[in-house]
Amino acid sequence: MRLLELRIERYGHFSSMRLPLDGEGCLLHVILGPNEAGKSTLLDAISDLLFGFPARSPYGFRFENNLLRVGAAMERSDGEGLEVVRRKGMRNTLTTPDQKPVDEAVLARMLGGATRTVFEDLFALNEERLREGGRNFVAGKGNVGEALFSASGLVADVRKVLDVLDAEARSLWVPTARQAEVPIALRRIGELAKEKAKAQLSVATWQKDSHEATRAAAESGRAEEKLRERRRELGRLQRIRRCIDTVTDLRVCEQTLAELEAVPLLQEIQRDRRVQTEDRLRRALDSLEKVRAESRDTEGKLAGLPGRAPILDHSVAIELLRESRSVTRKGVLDLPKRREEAAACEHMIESLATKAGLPNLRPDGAGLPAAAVVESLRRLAAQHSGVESTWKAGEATLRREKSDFEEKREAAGRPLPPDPAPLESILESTARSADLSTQVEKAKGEARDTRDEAAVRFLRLNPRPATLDALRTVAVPLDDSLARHERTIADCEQDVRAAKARLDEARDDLAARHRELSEAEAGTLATTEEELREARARRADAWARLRRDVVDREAGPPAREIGGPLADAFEIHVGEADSIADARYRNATAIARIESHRKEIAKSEKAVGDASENVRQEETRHAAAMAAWTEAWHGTGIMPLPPAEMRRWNDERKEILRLLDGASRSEKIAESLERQEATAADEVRREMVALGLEPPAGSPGLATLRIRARTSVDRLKEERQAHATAAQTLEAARITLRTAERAHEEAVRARDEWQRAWDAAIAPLGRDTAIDPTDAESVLGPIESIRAEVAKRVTLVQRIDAIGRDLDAFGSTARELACAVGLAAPASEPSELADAILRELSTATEVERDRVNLGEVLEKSRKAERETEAGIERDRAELAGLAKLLATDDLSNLAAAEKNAADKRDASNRRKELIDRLRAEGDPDEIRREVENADLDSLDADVEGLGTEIAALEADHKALAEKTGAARLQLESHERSKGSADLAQDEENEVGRLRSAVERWVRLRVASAVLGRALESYREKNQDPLVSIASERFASLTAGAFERLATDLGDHGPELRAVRAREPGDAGEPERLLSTGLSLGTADQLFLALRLAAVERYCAASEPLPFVADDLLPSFDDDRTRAAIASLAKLGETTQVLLFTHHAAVADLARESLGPAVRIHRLADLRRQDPTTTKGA
Amino acid sequence: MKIVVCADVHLDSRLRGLDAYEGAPADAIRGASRLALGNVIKLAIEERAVALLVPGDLFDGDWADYGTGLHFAAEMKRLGKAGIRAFVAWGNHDAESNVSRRLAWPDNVHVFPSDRAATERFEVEGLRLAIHGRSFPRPDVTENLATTYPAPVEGFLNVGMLHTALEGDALHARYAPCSPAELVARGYQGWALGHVHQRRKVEAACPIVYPGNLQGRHVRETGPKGCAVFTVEDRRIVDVAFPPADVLRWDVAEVDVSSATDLDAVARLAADSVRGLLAGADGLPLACRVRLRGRTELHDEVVDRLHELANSIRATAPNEAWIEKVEARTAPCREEGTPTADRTDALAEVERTLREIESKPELVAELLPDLGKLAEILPAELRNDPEGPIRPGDPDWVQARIAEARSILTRRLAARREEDA
Repeated sequence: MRLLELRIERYGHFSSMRLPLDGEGCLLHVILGPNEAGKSTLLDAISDLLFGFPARSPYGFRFENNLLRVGAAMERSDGEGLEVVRRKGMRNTLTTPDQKPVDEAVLARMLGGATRTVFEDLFALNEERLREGGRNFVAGKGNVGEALFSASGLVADVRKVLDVLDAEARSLWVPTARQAEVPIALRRIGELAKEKAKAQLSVATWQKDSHEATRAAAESGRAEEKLRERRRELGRLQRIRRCIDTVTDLRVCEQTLAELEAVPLLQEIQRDRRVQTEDRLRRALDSLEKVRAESRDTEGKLAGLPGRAPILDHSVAIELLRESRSVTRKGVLDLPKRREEAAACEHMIESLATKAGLPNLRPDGAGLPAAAVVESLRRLAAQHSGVESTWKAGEATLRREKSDFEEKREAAGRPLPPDPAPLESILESTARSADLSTQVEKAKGEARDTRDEAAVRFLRLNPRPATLDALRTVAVPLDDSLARHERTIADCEQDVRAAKARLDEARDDLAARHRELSEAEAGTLATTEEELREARARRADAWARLRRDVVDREAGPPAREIGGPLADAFEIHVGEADSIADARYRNATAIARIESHRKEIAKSEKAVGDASENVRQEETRHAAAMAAWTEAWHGTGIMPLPPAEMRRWNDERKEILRLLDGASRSEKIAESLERQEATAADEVRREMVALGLEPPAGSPGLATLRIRARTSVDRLKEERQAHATAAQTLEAARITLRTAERAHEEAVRARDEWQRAWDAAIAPLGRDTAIDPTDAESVLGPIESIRAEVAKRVTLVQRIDAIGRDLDAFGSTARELACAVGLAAPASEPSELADAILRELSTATEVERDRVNLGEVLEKSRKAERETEAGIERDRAELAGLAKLLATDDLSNLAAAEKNAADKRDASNRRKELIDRLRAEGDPDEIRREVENADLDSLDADVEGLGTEIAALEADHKALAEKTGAARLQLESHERSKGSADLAQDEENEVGRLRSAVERWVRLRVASAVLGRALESYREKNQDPLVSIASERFASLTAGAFERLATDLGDHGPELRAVRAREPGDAGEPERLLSTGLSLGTADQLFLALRLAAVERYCAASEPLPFVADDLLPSFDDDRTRAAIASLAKLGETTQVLLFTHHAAVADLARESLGPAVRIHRLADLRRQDPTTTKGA
Repeated sequence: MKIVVCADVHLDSRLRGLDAYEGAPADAIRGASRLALGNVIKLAIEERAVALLVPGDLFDGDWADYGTGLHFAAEMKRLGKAGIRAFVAWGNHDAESNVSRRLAWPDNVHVFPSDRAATERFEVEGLRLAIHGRSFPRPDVTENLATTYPAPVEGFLNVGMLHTALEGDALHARYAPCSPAELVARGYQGWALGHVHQRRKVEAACPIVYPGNLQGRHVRETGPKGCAVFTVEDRRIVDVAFPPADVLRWDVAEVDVSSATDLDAVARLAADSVRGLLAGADGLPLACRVRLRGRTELHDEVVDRLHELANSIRATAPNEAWIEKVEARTAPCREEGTPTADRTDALAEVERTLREIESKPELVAELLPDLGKLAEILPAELRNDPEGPIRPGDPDWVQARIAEARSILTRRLAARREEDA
């Protein structure tokens, strides 16, 4: 493919720029522009045009990304042309200039299936990559494979890739390394395995520890028992020692008790009682005397008091008189005030009566309206406003409801819209057809996609018929036939390979025999049978001559010239023959082996011959099979590839046909769906008209029609619904109106009833009934106040009358009492008379009180006297009882008797205490027996001895207990121990780490090996043709400094060498320089030569692409620039070549070298076409 | 009233496949099987269970360490102190011929004989129970043992214990095969089975239950693991529950990375996924395989830098999660076609070489002579592992390695272009 014109509409800072690249006989296009003028942008524009914009383009800075456009006219090597425009977008980004979509497959076909990678890395080269390639070549020390690989452009520094892969693999494992990950993991696993083995609890360990624990426990038990027994004995002896004194005391005590056996055993408390009783008796006798004297003194005082006064009999009446005096004094003081208050009340009644319209009302309130009347009027007045407001509200509601009813009646009277149910039914029935458009589009899209895929696959098909239709009609042999051919050819190939393998084997065998023969011969004297035969012949000749000359003396010429004197010669020949014979005898075995080898060699040579013949036959057979294979395709116009590839080809062909069939099916489905859609649309349209609806103008799709119809149906349904709702609302309004009428009637009736009640209630007032109820309170309030004032006046009058009555009663009572107690009744005030009576009563009352007090004192004295006498009797009886207990009649000897009893009691208590003390130590009887039987003299020594023995036993027991505990702990630790399980888990985890390292090693090594093999394979396939082309280009590029390239076998495989041109007259071998011996400039030229060769080779096999050299030659001198231009022009014979440069000199040199075969394009001129640029934007 | 069933304890067996990377929660997995057994014992005591049934594979095989048996004995003593009896039948792993060492078990432990099916009767809290069981005399018991079980005991709750692969279970070795119908035909009120590591209640006329194994041991044993608890009322099993008892949960994080734009984003997506799984792990630590999926431009980089990516995921994921392995199951966005014969560029040659090796797996061993040497020094468990790291004779293994090599080479050979970009 070559570009005829590049059209940059909007890209980077370019707009509306055209770069014409056609031109008959043009071998090189030079695009000249200064740095930053956009040469690299042009390269990217071509790349984006051919292979699409990347998701993030750096060239959307002047125009929005969605406005970026690059177009071109191009021509395929077979003359097919194409004009396209590429825009930035997600899909369908390729169009014709008039914006019709262009299938990517069409462009892909123009490019021969090349990818962006192929274009950018093989067909584009700049100075930087050139230099990098040159440096890599030097670093690769001339390795041919690497050099070719890198120069192919698609691969970076392959040596570096290989080195990194191998280095990474080595960090994981190499057989000799110890610090790589794999050996480290292996060592760790080994260490863990050892640790695990150590940590494992074995049966023997468990049994040993278990046995040890049992034995230690038994020993500890025995020691404990012995210790316990010794401690018991020590305790016994210590008890004896503690109890000796107690037992002795006990014995003394029991002796004392025996002596006092006849003495009664009394409690100590009885002595105390006796002492207390005697003391109490003495104090009682003294007290009795005192009491009796007091009684006599009191009796004397009583006798000296006067008799009882008669006034005391009227004391109650006199007390009542005292109270009356107090009341009357208060009434006399209150009387004037009450009279004033009564007068004020009468005045107030008069004033209020005038206000209430009752001018003739009396002060006692006679003629005042009853309280019930006032209350009734108040209630009615309160109801008045409610009744009035209810009536007014009823009036308003009635008016409003009547108006509302009229409005609704008008609304309900409108006509009913038509029923849209039939149309809705049709919509439902066509619902499934609603997405027919989508389905149609989908089917069409599927058909289109399928056809596109078929087209793309077709373009990729190799070999390929002229057209897609031809693919269907091409007469491909039947599958069986294909399979048969494939089998036959495969068998033939297999046979050829087998025959060749046998041939190789036979050759190897022959070579091995030769080696064996050489080795056998190397270790043996050169004494072949031939030599022996010749030596013997010489000896026989010598003997014959000697016999003739010496023995038989016959003259004649010697049979052969043997040289030297005859005897010597004979001797020599005899010796020689003998020595050869001897040597053969000595080396008989080796010689036999050599003979054997020779026979084997003969056999092997025959086998090689046979195998060669076999190979030839098999190859013939294979050729015949291939011919038959080619014949099978005769008539199809297709030159078949090998059967396996053709089988895949046929599969692909079937797949393409299947895709085409699928596309046809999809298209038919789309047509059928379109018909269904049209029918459904007609139905909908008809029913819309029937309903009086207006269908949309034109021929809208079913979906649009359905939407319109659905909208109309919804609107009709809403209107029908609104009509029904209006009827319901009218009925509701009618009911509401009736309710309002009833409410209004009720309000009128209530208002009338109130008026009647009001008139009746106000009549008793005798006033005008037209009084406003809201003003009624101005009358009713004073009436209520009058009623209160009247009540208050009545109370005051009653109080004044009561005070007068009290004064009269007090005077008459005072006078009557004065007469009764014998006082003269003077004409003085009753209050003075009352004071005299009260003084007389007070005097008589005090005398009577003294009499009563003395009587009470006397009674108390006499009672104490009686009680003291009874206590004396009790004490005397108790003392008599004690004497009886002490067995004596003499009360004065009670103390001595008591001492004997106390002694016995003390001894008894002491004995009990001692026995208790012994019991605290154990059985008292046993202890007494132990003490009595003990050898008290040796007791201390025995205790001390036992103490020592126990200390020793305790130490032993402690040691044994510790041992037992340790053994038990050991067992428990075994039971609790996680044992080796954790270590086993750690080991497993390490194995996981090892596995991971090994997996990484394998993947790196496989990748490295694949790359190495590919490298070698690439070299084998491409070395000769590439080096051959590159050799010419290199000689040209170096302007004859080097005559060619050569490959020599070096230590590490074939090496690429640059063969320096011989100086004139130099007859020696030309110098063959390895990459390391080249200057960097020459290395760059060598890399360029290889790259040009790779491009030529690619173009020879596939559709050519334009080669873009981007500022490639700035470091070249003029000669080499000329040479490079010539090389690029040479490439221009194969494919289109664009050279970007910012050096005008390069353009001049190109013009000078190539003349009309070069076209110079100045970017500045091209950009001047850009209207935006022209405007100076 | 409860009966607890735990099978396939595999006491002290290792958790498989975990790669010991720095920072891995190694402490969380130590003694996992013991801790899980401890959880079951605790559950039995808390539930006041009347019996613990262990239908086989209590041990993983012959004890590497006597402590394994001692630990079980100690746990049984703990059970015994709570008045709970334990019934054990040996399975294929701990068959009598497989385990050379035995202990005298505590009195509350009853081990069923291997020469016949036997019945153990006892009464507790008014319930009379008959436990029927039989141990494996040797691992390869392929005859039907169910038919040898005795008739049910009248008036008792009859529960059978058996280590078996039920018929129709193609995933497990066919040990002591039998059918659910045969088990039902014995007339017991229920069956406690061992051998299948997935908890399961078999559809049948009476409860037939696999409690599953006690603790997941590798990435194929995901989800909660534990025991089964039978609830017994009126001499009937009225309910079966499967409470978890494991101490470490296994799971696989399937992560779609098609939306990721770089490896950091991939790591973040994976870590988020792991975090989500951890949240659903009942508070247990998690051993998790991360499986990256989706069609992505990052496919080659993911494959080539998988180890680095795994470390990144491990660093980003929560500390309680052990990232067992990171698998690249992603797909490239490129279409991988066969390079045409006329392609002369180097990449086409690489692709042809990859395909050549794919079609001739034996070439791998030829190209990598060191492979055999490395295989020789590996531990036997890796050497003999059917999924081991070196299997040049396995076409699938070779296929996978070639796919990896394709990604590695595609990425690395394009490195220069990336650097330029």
